[in-house]
Amino acid sequence: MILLQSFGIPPTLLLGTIGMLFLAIALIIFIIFHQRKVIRYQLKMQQMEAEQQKILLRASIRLQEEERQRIAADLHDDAGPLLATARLYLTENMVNLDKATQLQSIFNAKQIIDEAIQLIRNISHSLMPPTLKNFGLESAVNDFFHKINGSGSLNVNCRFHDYKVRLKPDKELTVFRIIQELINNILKHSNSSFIHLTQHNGEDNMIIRLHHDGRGLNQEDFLKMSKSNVGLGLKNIQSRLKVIHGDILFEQDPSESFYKVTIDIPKDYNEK
Amino acid sequence: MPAIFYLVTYKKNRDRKLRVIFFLIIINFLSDLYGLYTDTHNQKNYISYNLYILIETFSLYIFFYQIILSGAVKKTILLTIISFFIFWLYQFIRFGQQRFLDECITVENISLLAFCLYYYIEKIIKIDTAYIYTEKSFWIVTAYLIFISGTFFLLLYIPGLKGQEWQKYYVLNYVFVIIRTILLSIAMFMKNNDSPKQKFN
Repeated sequence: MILLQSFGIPPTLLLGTIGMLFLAIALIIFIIFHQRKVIRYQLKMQQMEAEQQKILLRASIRLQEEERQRIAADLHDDAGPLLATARLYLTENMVNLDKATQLQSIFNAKQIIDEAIQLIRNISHSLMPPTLKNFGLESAVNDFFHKINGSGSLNVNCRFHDYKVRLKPDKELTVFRIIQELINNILKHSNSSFIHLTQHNGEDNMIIRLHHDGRGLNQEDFLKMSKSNVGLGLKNIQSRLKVIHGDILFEQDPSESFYKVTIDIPKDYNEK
Repeated sequence: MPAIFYLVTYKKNRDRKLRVIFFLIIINFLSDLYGLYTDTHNQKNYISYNLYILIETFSLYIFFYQIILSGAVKKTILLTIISFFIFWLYQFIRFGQQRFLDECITVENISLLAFCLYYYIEKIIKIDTAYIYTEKSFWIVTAYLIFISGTFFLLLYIPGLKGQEWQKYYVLNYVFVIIRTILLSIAMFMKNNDSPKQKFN
């Protein structure tokens, strides 16, 4: 400044110039640091999202493996021995037996085969409920709730306000699995005395809401648990929702007397 | 110096935006040479300097037109080019042979300052993974922002001075010309940031 003043530059001009220069440099520094900060934040968010995706993928693989193991165990432990027993009744030796014993053996084998058929049917139903396939989500949920009510331990009911146009079959199955998972969680952890499910139709979406009066989760708990290593069921819910581009909201009622879970399912053009 | 750097790195950096700046630097150099010639021969060089103002402004407007992404701002730049040309022509016809067109320089500086600010704002709003200082355009815009900010008060001050009094304050202008040259040299010399950019939502 002194150097420039020695050139005879008036202080007003010098101060004005320095002021403008200071503003320009401050602006450039601000832009650089702000942009760096935002980029780092965005990269961190992307990293976290990728991590979350990995967790969900792992959860869905684990779920698939568990499902396979269960089916394998059912087939191996139940269907296998049943069919082996039936085979024992139907040996070549049977022709040497008297007629009454032959008939008894055939009857026993028939009963065992019927049992095996029933078992395989049950496995098949657990993979794809026939009510859901034939009559849709409303009937499948009603059927599912009817079975729970049959136990008499709690009161479960549902009300579909407008479900004339069915969702696509794979979407219906996904929604049904989500409902099943939520109900299982409520039964296992909440100790509630009632569960009430309602369905409403929006213009572009379908809303399913579950109420229960037991211990529940809020959104923060849900997000925390679905990001941690525990809560496989919650991760499955999240990965299933991701497939159908849906949303879920866990909250407590303002009266704090019950918990709500709201599922928002976007509809395709032909589902409206 | 920036022109030499541009020519040295031409094969690596064939960028249309840089061509405008290269053209401007060459014109600036020729204008200064001509100015030196007329000064030594005691001739007035108002016409060449006033013509240089027009070329400089147009080149920088075109540069901003190329680097700014917003369609609306691009249209504003086109409108500013037309408006500036009409204003310059009016001033040039009236005073072009008698004095420097200070009013045109003021309009040029204010509009360029506005475009520089918008460029920075756009860089904050439309963020990609490339840091701003890895782009050539950032250094060019910074060069002109610092030059314009540094000489803004000087250009407002000069019209009030008598005779050749302004020449003793011109050291300020030289300081900022040097800074601008250094920043432009950095822009010309740096590696082109051609890595694919990932947009954030």
